[in-house]
Amino acid sequence: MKVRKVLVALLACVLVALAACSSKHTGAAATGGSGLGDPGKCSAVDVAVSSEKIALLSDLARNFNRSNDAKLSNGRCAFVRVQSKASGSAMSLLAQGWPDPTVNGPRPVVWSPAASSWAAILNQRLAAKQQPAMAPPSDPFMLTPLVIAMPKPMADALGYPQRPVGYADILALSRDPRGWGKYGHPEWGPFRLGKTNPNYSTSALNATIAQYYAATGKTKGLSLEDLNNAKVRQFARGVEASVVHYGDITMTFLNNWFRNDARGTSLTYVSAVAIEEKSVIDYNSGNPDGILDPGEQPRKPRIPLVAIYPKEGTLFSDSPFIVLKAPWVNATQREGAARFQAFVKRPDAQRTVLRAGFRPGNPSVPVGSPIVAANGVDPNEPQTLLEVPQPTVLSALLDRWAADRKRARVLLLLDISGSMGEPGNKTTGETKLDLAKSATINALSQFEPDDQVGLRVFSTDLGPSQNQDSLDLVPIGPLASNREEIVRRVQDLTPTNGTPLYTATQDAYNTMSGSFDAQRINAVVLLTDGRNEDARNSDLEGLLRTLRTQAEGESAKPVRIFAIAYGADADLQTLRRIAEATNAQVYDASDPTTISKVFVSVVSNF
Amino acid sequence: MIAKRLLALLVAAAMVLGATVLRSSVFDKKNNGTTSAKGVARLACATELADACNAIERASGGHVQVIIEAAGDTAQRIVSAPDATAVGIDGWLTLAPWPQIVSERRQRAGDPSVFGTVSARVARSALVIAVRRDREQLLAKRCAGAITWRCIGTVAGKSFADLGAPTVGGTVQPAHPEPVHSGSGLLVLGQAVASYLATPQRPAEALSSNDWINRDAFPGWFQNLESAIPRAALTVGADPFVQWLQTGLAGETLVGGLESEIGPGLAKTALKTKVAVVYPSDVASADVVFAPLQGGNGDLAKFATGANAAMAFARTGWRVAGQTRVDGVTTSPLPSGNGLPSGGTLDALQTLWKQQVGG
Repeated sequence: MKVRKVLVALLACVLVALAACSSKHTGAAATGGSGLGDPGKCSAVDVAVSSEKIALLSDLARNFNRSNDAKLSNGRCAFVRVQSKASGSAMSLLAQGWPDPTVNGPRPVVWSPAASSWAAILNQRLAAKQQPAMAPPSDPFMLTPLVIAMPKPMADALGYPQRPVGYADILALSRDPRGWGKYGHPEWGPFRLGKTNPNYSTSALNATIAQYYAATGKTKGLSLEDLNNAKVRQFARGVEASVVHYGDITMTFLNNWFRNDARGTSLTYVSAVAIEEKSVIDYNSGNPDGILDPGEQPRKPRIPLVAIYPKEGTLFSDSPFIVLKAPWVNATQREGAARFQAFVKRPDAQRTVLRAGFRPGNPSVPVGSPIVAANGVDPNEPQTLLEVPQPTVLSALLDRWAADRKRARVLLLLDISGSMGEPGNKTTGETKLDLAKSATINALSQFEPDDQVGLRVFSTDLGPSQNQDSLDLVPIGPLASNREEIVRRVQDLTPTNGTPLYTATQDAYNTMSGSFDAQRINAVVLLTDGRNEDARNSDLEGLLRTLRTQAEGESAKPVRIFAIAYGADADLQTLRRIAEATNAQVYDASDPTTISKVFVSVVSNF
Repeated sequence: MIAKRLLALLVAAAMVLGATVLRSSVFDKKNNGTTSAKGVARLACATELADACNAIERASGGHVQVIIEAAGDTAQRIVSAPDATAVGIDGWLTLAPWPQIVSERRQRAGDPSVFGTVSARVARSALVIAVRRDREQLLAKRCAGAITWRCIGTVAGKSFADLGAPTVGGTVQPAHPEPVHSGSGLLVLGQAVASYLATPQRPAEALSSNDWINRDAFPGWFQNLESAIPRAALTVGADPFVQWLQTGLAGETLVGGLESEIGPGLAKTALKTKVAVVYPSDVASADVVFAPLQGGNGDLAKFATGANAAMAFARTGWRVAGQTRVDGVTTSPLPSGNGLPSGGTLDALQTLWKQQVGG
């Protein structure tokens, strides 16, 4: 009897101890599941981060969710879920109140764009709508400076680092008709700059700010007057003129560079790319996109990159940890966010940050390996920091960039084969062609009136005699005069026949190559939902050989083919090979309802 | 037999419930600063004192609940409260003369006083200037041997090439925390202005707004100093010293602030060899005081000013008589007063700063 009493008392004590000390984690919550993870009974703290730190933050979140730090003062627990969202896209979504979480992901409690300038732009856009600021000032938890990455032989030719290099040197080199011949290397061709689109990419935004500062000679206080100064604009246009194409992510350049490195052609693909220091470390360690897929073995490049810290100064991507002041954030989530913030600032987490190639936000963790000279970077640089301009100036700068950027010459090549008539959105009943039509028309608004755009469609048995593989519906010309005709023609499209993919691609490439305009970005946007169905031409290797030959070398006339693999049946692998043969990129729109978003990404290249 | 088992299980269940309620009540004390559980004293602490205050809270055994807040925010909260009971705290650990500023603002508005007797100083810290070592000699040479805020305000914004160092890039960029919300920001600004205006006949403590109104060259000097400060440093809530370290000293040339932060902060980083800490000849100190709210929890003073508090301050970089100093905190002499203008003058200076620079 006494034994039973003791056992019951012991059981009670154990239960008491468990209730008092344990959190309400469930096993699922503590370990996380697939995708964003299942918070179980914990309070979900959604974190939207820029893509370059998704792996790092996901790791830190997993460790946090398993730790006692996740316990909240109300006895519950926080469960951090990290989603990747490009800084510019997240900013736009937040400015609209983060619509449609089923498509755009859960509304974030914490936002960590690559740089605080995005927070300034967000608050500015909200202020313009008489709405309160959503992004309060916040502390960075890791940093990486913007650099100009250049293949080592090219940096050596410029005399770097003994001779400082900056945007002014890039401008001079890009304007010199001798190109790299000025430095004794005519075989490298003209100076070619890789730069992403500042509306989407932080490194591009920072590079654009730095360009404008370089044009003024200032390091702070960039003003609207500066942006309107004719000499400043001329400088900016000069730098932009050397751009090969834009795009939404720097990984496109890095992956293409790496592929070219394997073929020994990296010096004629691009001469320099504005990227973050961390990306130089990743590239030189054989991991150009910073993500090691399962089984992927890093292979060091034959020609490493050197990080040039521009002599005029640079900016940091400072990864602010912003707990949003948004109506959907409650007190429990706010506390969970604060706990996660403290967690990621701890020295052990900050050492993880350093291992990933970022500079720690906690100064007690010293900068060290991998930020060392052997990886092409210099821990003692940068020496001069540029000030992030006022939000109004930032907004104006993006407008100014749109006016000053290199103009494009683009042929829209759309597949109108019979399969495009299949359902694209079961809810609305729209066909794949319907969705593609509306995405194409929407994308036109991203071009400037003096961009040149044309429309060509392809399928088998087209034309009056039903013997053509493609038809020019609107010849390439200024969008200002072509827009209405393109819209009208796109609206009239109907699906028909098969998919002569290789012939249509080669013809479009030849058209663009034959009328190449060196002052513009020359490109084909190829949208197709299928695979080559043309018995007359099934020579993919021949097509790729031709494209590659014409894309390489010091006197190449690079025409980029940006391919969209549209719908579940699209031949993504083949399209990837076609795009990469021209040093461009393939876009995956296997879910037809994403085509609008994908089209926006594609057009960000121009 | 079954009845006894059931009874035992019921007792166990009741204990489980009791423990859960107990735990909730303990955690709920931390929920916010507007209400407190019975017997828990609410202590507002200026941001600069966060580490010490958190230690005080831990050592209090649940008797003290700490609310960390910028001094300017707490000040605003107290100024706008109708009376002491409406403030929502029992006392305020902050930097002098912030309580004086609050009292005078309330007095000017005709509101009743809210504080009991403000304590003697609990801890002290010198106001120092951290300078890039590779720029220190250049500046000292230009500043007739000693770096002072008066001199910094004169050379701020100039390129080093203009200062006779053609091989050194960039400009002289000073920084200090913004002076509207940050407790120490206002003190550093006061130190800088006193450096320009004070004379042996008219020391810092005696300065008033008339001194800058009557000095023709002052607006130019003030504008030159403040406009050279990077905007990020003056952002509300920003810590320019930490920002400076985070960017590997890439931005500013020098940063003014508290020895309690800069000294130990540098001691912990690899950048310590690249930074010199200057104790300006016009020495000033940030003094920590405790201001109890009238009618507040009377026990709070012993937690905020007692032996545990002294230890907590000393361990977090503050100078406390009889306590060991941590790495990075020196024995450089401090003034008998604080070497700063009075609360009223600092308040007027804050207004001037808001008009001319921001806020």
